[in-house]
Amino acid sequence: MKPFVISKPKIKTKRKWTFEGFLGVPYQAVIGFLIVIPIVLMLIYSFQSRASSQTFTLIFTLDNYLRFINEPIFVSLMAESIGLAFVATLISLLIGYPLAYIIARSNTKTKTLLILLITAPMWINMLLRTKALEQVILMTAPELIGTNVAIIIGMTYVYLPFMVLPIYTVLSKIDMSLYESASDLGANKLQTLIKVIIPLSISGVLSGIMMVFLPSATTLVVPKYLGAGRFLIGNLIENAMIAQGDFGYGSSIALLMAGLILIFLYLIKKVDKYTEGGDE
Amino acid sequence: MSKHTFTSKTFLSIVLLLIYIPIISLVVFSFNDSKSLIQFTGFSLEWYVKLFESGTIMDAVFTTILVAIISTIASTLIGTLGAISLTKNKKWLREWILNFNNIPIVNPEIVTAISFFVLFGAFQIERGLMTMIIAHIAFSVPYVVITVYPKVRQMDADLISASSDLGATPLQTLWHVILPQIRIGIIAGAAIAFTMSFDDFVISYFASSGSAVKNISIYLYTLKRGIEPTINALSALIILVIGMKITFDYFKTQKNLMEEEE
Amino acid sequence: MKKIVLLIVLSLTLSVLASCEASDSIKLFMPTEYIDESLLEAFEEEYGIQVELIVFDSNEIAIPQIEDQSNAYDLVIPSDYAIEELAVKGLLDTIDWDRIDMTKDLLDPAITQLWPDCGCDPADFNVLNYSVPYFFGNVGILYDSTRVTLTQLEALGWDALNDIDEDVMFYDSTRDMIMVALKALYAGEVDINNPTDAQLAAAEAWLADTTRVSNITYASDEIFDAMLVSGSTQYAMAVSYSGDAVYLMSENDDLGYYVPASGSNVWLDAFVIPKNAENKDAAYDFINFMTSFDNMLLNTEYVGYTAPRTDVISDVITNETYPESSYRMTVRTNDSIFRYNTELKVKMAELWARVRAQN
Repeated sequence: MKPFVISKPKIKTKRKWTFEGFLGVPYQAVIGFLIVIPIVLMLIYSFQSRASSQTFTLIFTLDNYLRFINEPIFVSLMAESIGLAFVATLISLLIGYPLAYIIARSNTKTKTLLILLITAPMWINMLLRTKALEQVILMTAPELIGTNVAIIIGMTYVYLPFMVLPIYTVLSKIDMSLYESASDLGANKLQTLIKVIIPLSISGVLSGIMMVFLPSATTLVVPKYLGAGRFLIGNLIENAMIAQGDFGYGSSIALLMAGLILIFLYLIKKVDKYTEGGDE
Repeated sequence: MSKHTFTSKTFLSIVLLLIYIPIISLVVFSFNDSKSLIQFTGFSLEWYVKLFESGTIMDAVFTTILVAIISTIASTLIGTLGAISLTKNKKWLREWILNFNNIPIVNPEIVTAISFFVLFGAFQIERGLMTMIIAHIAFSVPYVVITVYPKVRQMDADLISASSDLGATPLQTLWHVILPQIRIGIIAGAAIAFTMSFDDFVISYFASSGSAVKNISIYLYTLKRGIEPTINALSALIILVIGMKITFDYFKTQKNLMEEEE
Repeated sequence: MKKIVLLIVLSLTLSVLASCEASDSIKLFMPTEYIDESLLEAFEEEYGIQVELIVFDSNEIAIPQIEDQSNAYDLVIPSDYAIEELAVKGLLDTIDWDRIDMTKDLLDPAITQLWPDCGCDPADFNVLNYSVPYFFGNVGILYDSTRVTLTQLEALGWDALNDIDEDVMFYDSTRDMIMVALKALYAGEVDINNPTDAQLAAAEAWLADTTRVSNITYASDEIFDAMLVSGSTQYAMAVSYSGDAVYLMSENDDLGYYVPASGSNVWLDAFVIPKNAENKDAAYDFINFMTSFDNMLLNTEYVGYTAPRTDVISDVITNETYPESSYRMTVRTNDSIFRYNTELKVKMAELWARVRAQN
């Protein structure tokens, strides 16, 4: 019950507002200048042709996008990057979900230890971890380096903890008594799993998928170390920006990739909302 | 009390083993007495010595730590104050800001990295240490905000009104009432900002491209020759620090749980 | 609050100090693994000027960095065609040779043959107007004689890189690899500065050849670690610059260097001073320091690349520091130099991106 509010004199409220307003200025500056404006710049550059960016005139053209889309090799490279990331995400899910489930169902002491062990590698520098994996593969199966298999292994290895963590978080919030009630109602373990647990954990699964798929599709490091210097879409963007110095072209590829991923995310969000609504 | 079947225990062990084999191999080879990263020939501490003697690696480590500390302090500050100010904004403004806030979180890192590259290029800002720090602050602030903001929303608004009714200046209210309530969120946000900055690669790479400034990740990525176990020694030390943190976390959580049970 | 403010001020001060440059210093922008760094320290001692070394992997990467005026380099060491591009774009100062101690007559005749300093046609580009030679050389195949024989290479030429079932390293460089492909296919019949679209398409197919027998990796400086140790070379053949080959051969007796008769590119890397350099006097000091007999000799002994001064070359060969066959540059019929050509550059960049995307 809220106690009745003593109405404050107008002056005090105004001063309070201005103070909070001040607090927010650096934050809003960061958002405006360091987040929004760069993206806008990227958009503008992507619609400029190479010639006009040197003369500072603004001519809007689809040149850069067309350059990319009309080149079947690049489009297939984007498809390949997405495909490899997709497989890696799938494998991470197949390994990560059971893993999260087992850990969530452990007793408290083991639970903490296990989750710490699984997520600890996340804190080790990603390049070091990828290099370590490369070294192990060179020791055991050197002919794998450069193949798609190695790249998928790499993506899975590096990003698996990111799949496990959100799923575990969601699963650990599920009340233990739910399992009991389900079995009381006659469901065996598998049925419980499929009909009760998995639907409840969908939001964690979707989170995990996002956190593995995004970086895998755009990684620069995995193809370099495990793909023997191959190009995936991330490296192509790197090449366009740094080696060719073509801001517009590089931005257009990056934005195309971001666009595709946003569509994917939107679809994921829809699935999430759908299952959430359906569970009511 | 083992709740697990034999299969799940085996599964767990195999996965843990596969995850840790590369890491263990990394540490083992840091003690190798030859240059090889594939053949272990004998025990030696020479790579640890060479690590500290290597100017380039130590520079990279120093840069990484410096950038991480500065960007964590700045982004935690900016983010926390920003999260607090969000509560006082009109709903429509708040919605917009939060949407923009999520852009770097939702975008693949390379898009954010390119946006900085383009920003610095367009405004002719020389890329180097400063731009790296700015970029780190820019991508950390959103994470701080999404960590702190929920805590701010959970705050007891009555306490704040009470504080100002009792004559506290806004600054005093902030320091003595608001911040202590959201302390957990701030610490969590700072921890996230620090980790993200320390490990960052893509954004740092593009934000400092063309300059001599390198953090650990950039150093590794651009290392073309002289790939020696000194890198393993560096990794082993980092793993040691993380190992200590994990052990600390483990015992702290155990303690908390024990206290909860009491 | 006070503690936090103090910490922030401290960190900010640290960061400002860290990014502050020394009072007298020059920014040297040059390729990786290309200088004896002890010479930088020696220069600092002698002149009191600090050298900040910034490296680049290729001319293609360097040029946008130089065009980006916010990077004010004092000295850059690009290749001949890149120098032409920078000069045409108005980014370079002309070199005042009165301030240069090394005189042009000291330069090896191969240099003056390929880059004539006659100044005859003012419209034609003269590299010596804008630069002072640093190192020069050509491109060839560094091979492990225990895995591939010279006879095989002489029979196949550049095609050996595709046709022998071995591990091969392609240099991660647009121009050089396209040149290799063009020479492999057309020898002296192609103008590498003006190939027809058909010739470029054929070169692209040669590079992207998915039916090739060999196993290709793209790399650059990794060549040093990869070919250094006898018995455990990572590649049987590697596309290599002459200097790297000379250095590696001195470390590993199994190695040889072969430049196919179908031709190669002879290149020249030289010091240039960008127009927006901040410390041009120090730049001239550094050029004179590095092009002196003693320092150039030390540098070439360390790096392995062929020095531009005739007296230094003679010294290296007489003292057998490096073998004459690979150290001395001879210009053969099918060898060519690169020129700057805007359209070609864009075509090559796109070709390269396509080739790399197909691996």
